Amino acid sequence: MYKPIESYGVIGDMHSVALVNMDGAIDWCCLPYFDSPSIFAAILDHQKGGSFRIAATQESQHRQMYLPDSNVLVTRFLGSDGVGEVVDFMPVQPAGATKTHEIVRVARAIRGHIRFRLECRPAFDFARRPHRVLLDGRGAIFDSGPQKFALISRFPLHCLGDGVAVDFVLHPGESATFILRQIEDVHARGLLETRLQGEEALHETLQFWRNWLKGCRYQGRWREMVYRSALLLKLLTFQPTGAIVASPTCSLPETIGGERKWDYRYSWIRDAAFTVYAFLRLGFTSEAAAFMSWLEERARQGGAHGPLQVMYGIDGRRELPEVELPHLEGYRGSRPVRIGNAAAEQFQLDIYGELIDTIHLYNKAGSPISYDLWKHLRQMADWVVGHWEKDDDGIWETRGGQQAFVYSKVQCWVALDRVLKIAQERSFPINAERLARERDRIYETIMQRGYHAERASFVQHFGSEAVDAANLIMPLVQFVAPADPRMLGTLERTLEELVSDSLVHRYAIGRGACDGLTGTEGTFNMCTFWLVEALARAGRLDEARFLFEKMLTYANHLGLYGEELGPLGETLGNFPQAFTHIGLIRAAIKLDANLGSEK
Amino acid sequence: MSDRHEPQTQPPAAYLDRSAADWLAGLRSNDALERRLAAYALGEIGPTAKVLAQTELLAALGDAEPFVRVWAAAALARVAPESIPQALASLVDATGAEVYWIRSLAAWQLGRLGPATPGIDAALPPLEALRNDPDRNVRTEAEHACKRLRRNS
Repeated sequence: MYKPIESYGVIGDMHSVALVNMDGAIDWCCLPYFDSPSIFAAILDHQKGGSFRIAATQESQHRQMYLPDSNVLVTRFLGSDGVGEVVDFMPVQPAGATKTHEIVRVARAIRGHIRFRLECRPAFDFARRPHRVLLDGRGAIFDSGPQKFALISRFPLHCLGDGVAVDFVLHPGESATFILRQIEDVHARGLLETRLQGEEALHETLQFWRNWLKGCRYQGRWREMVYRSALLLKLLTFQPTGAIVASPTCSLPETIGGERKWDYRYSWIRDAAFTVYAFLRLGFTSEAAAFMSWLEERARQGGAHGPLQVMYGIDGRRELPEVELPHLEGYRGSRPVRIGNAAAEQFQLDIYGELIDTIHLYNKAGSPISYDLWKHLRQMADWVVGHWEKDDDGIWETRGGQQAFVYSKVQCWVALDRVLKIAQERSFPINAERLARERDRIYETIMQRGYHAERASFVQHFGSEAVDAANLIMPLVQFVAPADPRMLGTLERTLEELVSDSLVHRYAIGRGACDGLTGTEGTFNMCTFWLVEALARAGRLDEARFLFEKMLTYANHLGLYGEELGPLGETLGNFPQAFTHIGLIRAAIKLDANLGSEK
Repeated sequence: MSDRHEPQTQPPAAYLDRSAADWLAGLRSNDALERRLAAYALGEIGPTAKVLAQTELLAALGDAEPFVRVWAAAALARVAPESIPQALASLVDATGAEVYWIRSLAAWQLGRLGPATPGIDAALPPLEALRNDPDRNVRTEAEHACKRLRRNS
């Protein structure tokens, strides 16, 4: 049985994550890294995908919460006979340490004697690679050949098919710790005792998250939601390289049964730049510094269509071949499941604007950038000068042919504008006159060809009449004044044509660009937060605040969002998604600033 | 608060869909891990397995493997309360095992028996002694067990 996407919480160690359902099941986990093959993927095929469940056997209500200021998740089972809990986390180790990837699960009886059942059924490599189960004194070993995991359990495990199970009763106040750990060798001597290990790991993991969150400068009205968003974004950073994944899942559909579902376990330049921007606005600079190092490496490599590629593997690799997995039925039958991402080959002009805008902020709020990075920026700017007039695939990565997307042109303007600003602020050598001339030419072109006078709105692409929610970014990047009549008109058209009960569609499918796909999709959460920010900037504060508060009601029980929302408020698309939480952080900061200090 | 009868819910007649008779066969296996699992399963089935399993669990207190003895003792205490003295004696004996994890296992199982178990006071001195064990894991388990057994004292 498939569970609602929003019924999951997430834990992680900044190498990968696990999705933990309210019923106590881990239904998604790729180890050791975000973009490794899965070990648990029941969310994509509830029969074959594999899962790891620990749950009270009594009939119970389920609740979930995070331990305060952390990514340590507690799943609660409330029954008439008692209350049980499972505490889940992935220990975080210092950068550079020899990493043992683990999922620690601590079952506890809070009230009454609680009977739990543990069932662990891994399915390696998206259920493509068989494994054997070996029981030993410490628990069980799952050996698939290249990958091996030990499940360490004090209670004796029993083989059930290609998994293991155990029932156990915990007395009031008692706990039992289970550790799923990657191992190199089935014969290696390993951990036998889990209680002490689990207690120490829990203490250290809590300390890590709480110390990190102390660096957050946000003190506004929506602290709880902003903190959760920050914790999630940190969870999506890949500690060894500084790369940031867009989402830790793949192929969760944008409509049930629909074609639109992609693998987001990679680092998009756009998403990562937005994430770093959000980190910087919250006062976190070390994440930005790590990303800058990663970025310099990518800039050194170059891309097929320009100085950078649209996205990379978290280790910096450029090839992300997209393949379908026909043996998996997909979430609620949403075939095909895809891994890899063909959009890596796309030509998207906007990435330079988003990136250089973030570097501009980093140069001011983080650390002054190096000359070598500056040289890369200058090279990017030169490239934008030579290419901005080309059609591209756009921010939405449409697969229906390239267009002159207005959003892409705006971001080209941002790229040149911010390079000029950095040059001025740091007195870096540059041919400012040439860049400024080209920047202005982009500006005038957008105003002439990207604006539809009769519709009184900016449009999706040159020659189109359709509106696109991406254009809500214009006042956010200071391309246009928030109350400029052209922007106010765009806001009105967006509200009329793309907004449904305060929620924003990216574009009206069938109007504007053909996106090359069939079916429909939900409303796009980040665009809803962009609308909040655009309204706030336009001085429509009451409206913006109401819309923001309304949007908060669509978060799941833990404050997490996926990519999109369906008509019933259900989460659609990959989950949880950085984009949405970035939008939330930006909108909260802007609203707070415009509302003033009165709370 | 009574700690004697563990789950409020009825104990299962089988464990993981296998009957007590099935599990009893495992107690005779040549594989020590299989014997351990069988002992545990019978303990989970509880008193309904008594007629079938009491004698064999008593015999398992003399198993060649120390960890099987510990699991058999823990199961016996649940399956046949009148055999608790023998089970306790076996667990106390295991607190003096040479291997650290057997001592730790014994401490844990003694704590799990709970403060209402008849004769459990006899387990407190050896558990107290384990609080100074050279191994941290053993000390931790002994600490937890002492705390739990002293709850009602």
